[in-house]
Amino acid sequence: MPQAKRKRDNSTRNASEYCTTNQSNQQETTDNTTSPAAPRPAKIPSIFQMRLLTHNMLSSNIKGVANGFPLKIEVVKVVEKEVDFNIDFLKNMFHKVEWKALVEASTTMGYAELPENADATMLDSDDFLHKFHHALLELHLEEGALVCPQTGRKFPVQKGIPNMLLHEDEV
Amino acid sequence: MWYLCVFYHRLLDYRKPEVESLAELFGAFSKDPTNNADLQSNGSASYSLQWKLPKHHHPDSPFHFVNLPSDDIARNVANRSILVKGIFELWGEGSNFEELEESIKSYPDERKLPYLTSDSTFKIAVETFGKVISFEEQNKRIRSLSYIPFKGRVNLKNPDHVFWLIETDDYDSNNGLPPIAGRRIFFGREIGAADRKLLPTYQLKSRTYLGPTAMDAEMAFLMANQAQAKSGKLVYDPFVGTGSILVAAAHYGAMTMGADIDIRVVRDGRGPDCNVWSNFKQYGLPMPIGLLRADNNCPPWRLGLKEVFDAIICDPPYGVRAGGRKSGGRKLLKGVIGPYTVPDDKRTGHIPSTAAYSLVECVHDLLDLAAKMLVMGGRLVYFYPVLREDESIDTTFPEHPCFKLVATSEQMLSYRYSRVLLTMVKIGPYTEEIALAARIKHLEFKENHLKWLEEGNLHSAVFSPADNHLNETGETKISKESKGKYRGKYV
Repeated sequence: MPQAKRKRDNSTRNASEYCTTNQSNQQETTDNTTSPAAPRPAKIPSIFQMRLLTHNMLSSNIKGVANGFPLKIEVVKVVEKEVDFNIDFLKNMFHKVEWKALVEASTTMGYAELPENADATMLDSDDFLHKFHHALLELHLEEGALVCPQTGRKFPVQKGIPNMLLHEDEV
Repeated sequence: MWYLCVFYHRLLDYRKPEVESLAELFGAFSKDPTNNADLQSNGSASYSLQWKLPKHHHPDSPFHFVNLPSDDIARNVANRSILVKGIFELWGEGSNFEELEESIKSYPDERKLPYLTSDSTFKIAVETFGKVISFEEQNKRIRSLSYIPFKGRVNLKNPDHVFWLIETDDYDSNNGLPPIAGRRIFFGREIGAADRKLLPTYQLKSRTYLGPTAMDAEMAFLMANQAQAKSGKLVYDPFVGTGSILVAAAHYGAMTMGADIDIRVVRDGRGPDCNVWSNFKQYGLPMPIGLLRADNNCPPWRLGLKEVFDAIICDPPYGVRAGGRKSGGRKLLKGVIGPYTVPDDKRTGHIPSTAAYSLVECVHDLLDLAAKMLVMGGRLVYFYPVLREDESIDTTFPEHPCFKLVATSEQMLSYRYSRVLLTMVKIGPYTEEIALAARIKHLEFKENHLKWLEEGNLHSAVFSPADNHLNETGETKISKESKGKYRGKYV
């Protein structure tokens, strides 16, 4: 039941959170249409982006939550964008990434090409590196939410910006 | 090998640290750059170069000699720097032209002749400090160098080799410096020089999205150099604002990531073409890897995530032009009311209230975050404000067992306060004990919120009327002079 309630509130969220008045009109209209079916105005090429690397680093830090990682992804809009391939960066990041969480997240985002398990020897394979690169850096969640696996609290992602700020009673 | 290093005469405190930081980046210190053991074993890995001053010159002089291992390193350092006017292989120097001639003639031929061959092109530039000489005078001086056997052709636009004749005079006061005793003339071959064209390109006045505390482009590049930003590295700014610091890091090829507590700045900006993203797009730079809204006081990083960032660069809110905020609720922390529970039906659209964030706590959190999240040898570069009211120049800067402070560069902002750019290198791992101590400190800050806010209040110290100064005008003057700072520190 609280779930349903949250959904309804969703549409009014932005109008209330906005402070810049001259923007609020335009924002309201875009936000009311954030359903997968409604495309954004095509005029503005989207530059907003939350990548899976960011997702892989974040967790729910609500007080009392022990298993805040990995956050589940609720997809409203995913964008794919080509990003320069930097092999040093990838090799560097491979050791920092929680692989299982990355595989799960990229599957949610509609990319299921990553192998279930990976180890450092696979970094010699060009094919693997390109898949890793695509999942880590080229899949962008533009609209949606990150959901705390323990409490179900939603951290909204709007215009590619995850809002990780806690409420007063969650600190 | 010793080189003559001539600086632009500005931001005097920032000049040598920039060269040293870049020298390390280009491999001047480490025999084996991948060897972290050196760092750990004694914690005294060398980050400084050998410097010398020309005869009778004050340390604030733009002329220095620096010892660098090779031409290649010197060239890389100079070309990437912001404050180096030129690094030169010195062929000769003297107090007058006769001495200069003698000195150049005695410089070994095998160093000179390769640059004087007939199939090369060259140019001679005349540069002065603290004086102006006419075009004819300049020409005369160039001609007087005829004792050097130039065989190549002159090419003013795109020469293979550039030679510089640099002259200073003994003036009573030299751009606010104490007088430099003795005229000095240098002649040398240019190895490299800063590309200051970057600055008009990135200047703030043509930046689309600006905030009140956007970092000046020159300073942002200096910070990125202190942080040794380069391709393949990940740089994080926990107070990203409009992204002005990350833009500089991205220019040098680093991957960037930023967070801010103000969602209006980080998510919305001023519209679809005027926001943090568009600032990167404007210069054709790669977009940040991630931008998020998060609180530096309780960062949302997953448990076990550590050593991911190669550098953290930021300008924390000091509460003078902009104050910091942290989550937790304004009233709760003031002790006005009990914990506020957000009603279930209001949770989705709820805007949490935030409380003021004292500088001490902010810096504590920053150091703790950096200690955990930086790779070994990674750099934390940030501004720290210092009140100039207390005479003691030897301010104590924040310390942390994981870090070694390698550079401090002061920039005066007003008569009352300065900001100091601190560069810290991570030399020790983030241990359980350190984490525990940080958690205890965190709670102490939370419990004594008001006390900390009052103690570290810079705003009132910077803006309160100077009544005690007005009372005794005579004394004000004295205290002003006794500061003993050169005007140069302001430039």
